[in-house]
Amino acid sequence: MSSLLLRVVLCGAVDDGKSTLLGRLLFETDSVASDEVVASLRASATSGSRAEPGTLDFSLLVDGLESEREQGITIDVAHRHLWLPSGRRAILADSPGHEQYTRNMAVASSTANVAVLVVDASRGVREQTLRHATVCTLMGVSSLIVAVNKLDAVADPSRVFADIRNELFGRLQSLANPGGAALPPATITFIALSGLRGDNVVSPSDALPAGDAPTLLAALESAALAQEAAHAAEHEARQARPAGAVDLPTLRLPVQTVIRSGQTRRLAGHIARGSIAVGESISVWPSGTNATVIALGSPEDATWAMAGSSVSVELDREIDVGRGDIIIAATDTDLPVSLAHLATLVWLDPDPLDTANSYVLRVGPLEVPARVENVRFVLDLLTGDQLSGHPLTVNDIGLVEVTCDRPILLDSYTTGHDTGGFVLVNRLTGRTVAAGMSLRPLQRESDVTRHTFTIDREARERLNGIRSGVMWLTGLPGSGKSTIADELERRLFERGIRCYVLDGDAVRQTLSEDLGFTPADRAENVRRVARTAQLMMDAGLIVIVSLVSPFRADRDLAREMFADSDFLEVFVDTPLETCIERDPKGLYARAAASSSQTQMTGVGQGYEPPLEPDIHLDGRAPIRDSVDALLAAISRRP
Amino acid sequence: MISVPKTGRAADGVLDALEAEAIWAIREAVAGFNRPVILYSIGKDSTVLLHLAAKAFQPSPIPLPVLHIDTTWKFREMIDFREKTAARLQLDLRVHTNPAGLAAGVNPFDHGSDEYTRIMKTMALRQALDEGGYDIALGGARRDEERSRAKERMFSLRGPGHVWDPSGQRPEFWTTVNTVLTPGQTMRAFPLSNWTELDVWRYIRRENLDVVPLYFTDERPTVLRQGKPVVVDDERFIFEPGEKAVMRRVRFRTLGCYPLSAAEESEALTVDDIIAELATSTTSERAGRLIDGEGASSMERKKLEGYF
Repeated sequence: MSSLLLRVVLCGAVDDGKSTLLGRLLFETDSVASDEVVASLRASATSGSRAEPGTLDFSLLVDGLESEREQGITIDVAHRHLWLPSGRRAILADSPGHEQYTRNMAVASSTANVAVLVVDASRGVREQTLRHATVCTLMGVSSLIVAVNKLDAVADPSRVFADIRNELFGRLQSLANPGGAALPPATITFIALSGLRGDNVVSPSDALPAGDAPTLLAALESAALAQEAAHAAEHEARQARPAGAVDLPTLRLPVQTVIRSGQTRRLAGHIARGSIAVGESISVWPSGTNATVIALGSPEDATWAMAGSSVSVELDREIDVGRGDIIIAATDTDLPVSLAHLATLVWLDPDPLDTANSYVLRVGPLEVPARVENVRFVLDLLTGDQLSGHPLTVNDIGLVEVTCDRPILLDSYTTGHDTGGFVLVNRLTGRTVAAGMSLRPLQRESDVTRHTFTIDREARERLNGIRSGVMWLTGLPGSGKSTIADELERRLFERGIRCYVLDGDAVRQTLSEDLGFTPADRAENVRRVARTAQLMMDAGLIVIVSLVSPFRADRDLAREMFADSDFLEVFVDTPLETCIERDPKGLYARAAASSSQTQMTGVGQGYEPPLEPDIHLDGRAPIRDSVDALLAAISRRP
Repeated sequence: MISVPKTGRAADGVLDALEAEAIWAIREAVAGFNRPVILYSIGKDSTVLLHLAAKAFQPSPIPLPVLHIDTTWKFREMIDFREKTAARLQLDLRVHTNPAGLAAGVNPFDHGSDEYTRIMKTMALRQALDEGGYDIALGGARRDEERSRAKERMFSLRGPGHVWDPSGQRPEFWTTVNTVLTPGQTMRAFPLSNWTELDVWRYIRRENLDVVPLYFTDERPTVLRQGKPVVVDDERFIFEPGEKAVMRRVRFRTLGCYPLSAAEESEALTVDDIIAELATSTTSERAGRLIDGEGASSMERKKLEGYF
């Protein structure tokens, strides 16, 4: 994606002098305000700074957190604006060098066009240098500037510079690039400099050997120029295109939201790839419906817009489209859609990858439950070896197979960062545990050979005369779920509607006889019941689930398996005291009598009430009223 | 040392890119969360943020409420501007003041800027966010404002009690936002993260936006505090013994509570004048906030407690 904002990541191993170099760069280009300089001078005098008293410790200009200044290290990325001599502006992301903060460095490089990799001349190329070089390459940085720093402190700067250059250049060429996930940087520039003395940072110096560019600033300026030229060329090419000419089918416009105003509907999103124009035919993934663009806001009225624009699109007809869908060119037929995708994963979380866990996979606004079923190898960054049978732990980079709960469109990362890069989220902790870059979709035997039968759900629904669906009753033990389910089934049956009650107790004695009542077992029980309900719904039934299902996350997981209109969550809301009083199965009495720790919901384990149930029933109301409400909800469905 | 003209080459292209990024972030905050709210401080950044929010959802009106934390010590012209803006954009404006602070008469003169800010701004903000049940709050903060802001993500997680954990921030990749919140967590979003002060003014010029007149130079009654002119906005101002207001030609680079906002002497009468002035300015915008004077890290400490 081309944009006129040059984004630069500054990286390299700890203590190689990144912050000092950046501080020097900002100071000498007048990119930092005088009151900030004064504040830093004051801090230089009082903190654990290693600078001579009375001189400016440039690193303090950029280490923005108190804990960073105290420890003299960088923890997270600082974003600073650098004014280039031409008047152009770059956003510099100063990233931490410590291995434990690699995730923050990965964040900074994901949106960078240019990486400045700092190498301490007195220490040479280190593991963290290679790790950062690898991450930059994987993240698709197009231009790499290697700043060989602290050359003022070595005996023979020319020889040291040449040695590091040769070693790193060789490494960069053969840099482990698992499975072709990334393209190597288009340009690699070596510069000999000293951040401490300022040699070859902003002003050229004769004291140091000549590199590929006179100064770091000059190298950044030429990167900015190249980017501006590329942007202008892209723009001109699009502008010069004759009206009606067919664009290469590269468009990706993920829909963030649908804007409704009176009779008009506008699909809003950020163009990730390609361009879109009024009059063009588009298609919507996954529905496959075609339509024509009749108006375009970018954000004002426009005739066309390119990647990097936030737009809103009005179509010539009302089609089914929502958040997470992707607008593509109607001519685009070869889509990378699959349940399974091969991807490079950078693991960010302290907890290692759990191949049994279901994570939330996100690509832009698209969200789907997914598992990482197979780790093909983990990369040894020092040797470039591909280690198999190795767990994926924090800061590891590996090649994996990701399997989603439904097929998704995932581009190869080299063709589009915004539609080929994804994150995995642990839904319990909410943490972003990994960043992934897709290589290609995988066709799995088990996925593609699933036979398509002639009689489908729709056909069965026609036969039954009613749309099937699931009613999920949740509530405390004794809240009245089974009583309500029983009465509801009876009333439906009376009307000749095919239905079935999946009751918690019955399931526990059959489908889930191997499970206990730990939170993990409860989650698995909910999953099995949801899958069974799905099968029954497919068979054309109204399925009434009556299950305590105390945990919100488990219920959400169940809900995600269904379309919104197929699943109604019903909260049977009865106060705990009433349940204890009723205690139809004597469970509360037994729990109270038992001296040991109990897993009984409401006593030993908590119950998380639904925040936004589709139907909220008062468990103390007459059964008939509750069932009437449920029947009304069934007939209200679209 | 080289001198760089901060005029911004290819200026419109850069503003286009910043605008597109901000609109993307606003839409993501509104569509990806359940109860979004815009935090409105009436200043120039808030003005740009509201304008972008209007653009993001046009032709619909702004589809989320707008919250102003009113300390009761804002400039009168700010409150006038707020009311005018709310009417013009048909905003669902909600104003909150910390009732306990108000009852106790907490003010910047008697309680000191630290305690006053904690009670009337930080606590008030936390109350309003909790009462509204908002899971994401959008603000106009920029990374170039201050060193700890430079460290913050565009989508910045807050733990229970709205605290910021700067060393445990969520990774943020591409245009993919992790919208999962566990109980007690909320999000703050800063769509203008990558804008500079100059970008804001150039955008105000390009889009022809109205701002509070206090940004333009005028004759105003002032006294000096910490060597800087402070405007006497109403009769509640507490003078030092023997002190009298003096008329000075001043303007504000940043607006807040009037006793805590320092003006500067200037001749900038138009947006063009302001842009010309900023291009050669060597001080940061926050130099005008008396609130930050206590130490380089005071903003960071306030943010840890839940300040915006």
